[in-house]
Amino acid sequence: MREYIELTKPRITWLILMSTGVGYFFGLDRTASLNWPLLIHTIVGTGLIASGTAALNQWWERESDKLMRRTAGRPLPMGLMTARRALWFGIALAVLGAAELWIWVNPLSSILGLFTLAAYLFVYTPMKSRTHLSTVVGALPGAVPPLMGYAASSGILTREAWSLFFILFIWQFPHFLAIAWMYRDDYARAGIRMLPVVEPDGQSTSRQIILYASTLIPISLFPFLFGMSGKIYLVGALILGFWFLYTGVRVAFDRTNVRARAVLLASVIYLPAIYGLMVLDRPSF
Amino acid sequence: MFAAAFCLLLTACGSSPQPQTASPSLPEAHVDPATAGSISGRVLFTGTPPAMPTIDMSSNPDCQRSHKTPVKAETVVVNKNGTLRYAFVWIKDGLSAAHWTPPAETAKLTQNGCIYEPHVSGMMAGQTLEILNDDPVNHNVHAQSTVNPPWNIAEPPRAEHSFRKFPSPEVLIPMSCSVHPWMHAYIGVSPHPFFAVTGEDGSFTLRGVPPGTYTIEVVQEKLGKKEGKVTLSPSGTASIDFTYGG
Amino acid sequence: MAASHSGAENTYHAGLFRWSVLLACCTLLLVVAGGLVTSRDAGLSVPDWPLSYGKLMPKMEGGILYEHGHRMIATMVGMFTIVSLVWIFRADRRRWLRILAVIALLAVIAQGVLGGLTVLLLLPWYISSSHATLAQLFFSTTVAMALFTSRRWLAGPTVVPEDGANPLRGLSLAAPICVICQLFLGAAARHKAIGSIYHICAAPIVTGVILWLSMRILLHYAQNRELRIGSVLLLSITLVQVFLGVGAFMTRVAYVDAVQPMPLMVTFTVLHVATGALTLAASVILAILVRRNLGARVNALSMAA
Repeated sequence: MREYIELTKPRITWLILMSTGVGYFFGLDRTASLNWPLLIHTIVGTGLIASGTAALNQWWERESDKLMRRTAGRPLPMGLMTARRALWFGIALAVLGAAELWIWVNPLSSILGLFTLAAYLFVYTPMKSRTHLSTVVGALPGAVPPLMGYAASSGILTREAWSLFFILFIWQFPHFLAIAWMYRDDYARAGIRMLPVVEPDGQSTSRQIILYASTLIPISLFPFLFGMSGKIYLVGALILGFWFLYTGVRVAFDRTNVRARAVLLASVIYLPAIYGLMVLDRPSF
Repeated sequence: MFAAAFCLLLTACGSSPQPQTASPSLPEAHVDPATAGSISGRVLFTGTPPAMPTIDMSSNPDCQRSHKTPVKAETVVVNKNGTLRYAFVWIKDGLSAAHWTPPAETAKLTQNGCIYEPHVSGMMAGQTLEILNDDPVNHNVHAQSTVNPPWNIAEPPRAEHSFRKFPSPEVLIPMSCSVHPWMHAYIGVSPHPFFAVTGEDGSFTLRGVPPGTYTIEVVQEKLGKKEGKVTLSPSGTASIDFTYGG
Repeated sequence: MAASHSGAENTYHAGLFRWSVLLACCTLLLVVAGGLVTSRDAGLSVPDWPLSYGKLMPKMEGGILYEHGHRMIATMVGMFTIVSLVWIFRADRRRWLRILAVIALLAVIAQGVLGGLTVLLLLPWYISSSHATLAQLFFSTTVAMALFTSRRWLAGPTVVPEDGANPLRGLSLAAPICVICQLFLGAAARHKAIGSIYHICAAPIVTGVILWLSMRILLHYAQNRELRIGSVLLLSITLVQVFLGVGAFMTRVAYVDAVQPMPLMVTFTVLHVATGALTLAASVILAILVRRNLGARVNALSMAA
């Protein structure tokens, strides 16, 4: 049972569902109630299709996962289940999730989910071993969850939804670049061409971290500019954004694993923190 | 930690405000009925009357049951004719220094249906306030006075009446109940008998006032204070209106 | 605090540990009850003390439910503290723990006295705020007692050398001190002695100190499991606390014209008070663990690059 859960990458799924929830919240009409049944269908459906994507990804990469210390403990490299079983499990989850969204939420959210699955599995994953630009491509499906949540509660995608998309899109770069820096030897072993593998001195990596972290600051202000959240969010987003940038600056000057881990930690705190502030600081009750 | 607690105990016991007693050397007030006049007027409200929230009495079903329709808060009550109800009007300044004897009859504050009646009232310094509990529930009456010493008393259901006095003038004293936090009343304690509370027509009349020039003050619990000057000629009438904006 | 002598005198007593946990949980409940009293303006709903309307048990209606309920839970906590004291004296040999248990009992008695004074003296802000602050300190004490009677603690410290470039002792003390100051500012604002602006402006500072401490532990001392878990816990609780604070502030602003305490505002505010207690407890526990687990300072220690 445990290995099945492991196959679905639960920690990432939790992050995805949090982002979906935030999108859902903002898609609601301000005066409307939460509509619990719809929210539950959205969360469950998104959770299923995200878990299915993760499982299928692990099935696809089961051979290269054996080469990386970070992933060698996963169920398939460990031989805890057959590849065939994992494949069918992943397909089942994905189909169930897409169906749940289509039937009980709306076609748009289901299509977005399927797009995410397709882009992640058929575009991003094959690109990983070929070019470091895979990170850019991978960040696109990675940022779709808030769109799914927004589409679920409102049925359309507005500039508010896209502002959430962009925040999550830009956020992924410092997050994954920091991980890639810390595990660059591991990635090299598996033949995955992340930027720190391709340019091992880390200069371009840390430059990009700074670039994306600074871009994140103005992007994170859009919810305030669009009237989604108020001044408390504005102040909080600025403080958190500059702190995140600060960790990026520190790793640029001192390209050690410890500094990279600081960036990673900051990213893990940053996202739930701004989500929380965004949701709480709604101008009208 | 305990030294701190004991120090607090000592300071707290020592620091209750001392009431100002009327100086015994003041002459007794005397009004000549031949020259006394009256001051009257209205308290108006312009603009849209604010919507008053409905009181939620669900924390105490006994209170809820005593009202056929839900009760609205009485923070700002605008009458149909555009005047303000529950405004306290009194002569703030202008009377010669004297001591006015309070009447023997009591001013009353009743707890009925978990609402104070009257919502705003006036009484004289040194007059006795009689508190009645007509409800089948426990109340407490907390006088949040700052000039007079504050007090808080228990009012069990259908209890014997309680009696308190405010020795010093104080306008307005908020009265509240902590068992039912929506209960609010205000009492204006005046040193003299020239005060009134506007009713459903928003008007007030101060009778038996000696001739002179006076500062009249009106106080509304939320909208604040306003002042105006009038001059009263012997046996005459003077009139002054106050307007609060929306 | 002396590092524990190995095992012989200090055996683990499951019953004592569970009782200490129960006491801590009941104390948290009491903190919630106290928060409810203030948020529902029920502080003066029972004008007499220690009896209530002359009886041991009045009709629990309106504000009396909160005020008398708070008194009942307080009495229970007081009695549980006495039981804790007796049990510790009988079962545990550590002198410092016995002293701590005595201090806890004295604190809960002082809390009772302060509680009575708040009612009898009509809620002067300094007594109400002291009552609130001592409550939080007492809660932290009960959590610490639970920690000290736990199996993990009795098994001994897991020492990690202090990295001279990233010292921890001062910072780990700064965190609970900042939290206590922030608690006092919050209590003073709640009892209308000062505006809430001070509490709000101090919030980023307190959060910053906690963030700094947690990041330092997670980056440089993450191999020590107790410090790692302690800092993650403190950080998570602090984040939740910030959110609850925002919620409490916003509901207060939204309901500024309300004529009675509104449920949403009460919920956010009381949760904020309770989580504040948890924040203080977490920062205190972390400071204790830092003091216990940190070995001699090693200067210019290069952690694995």
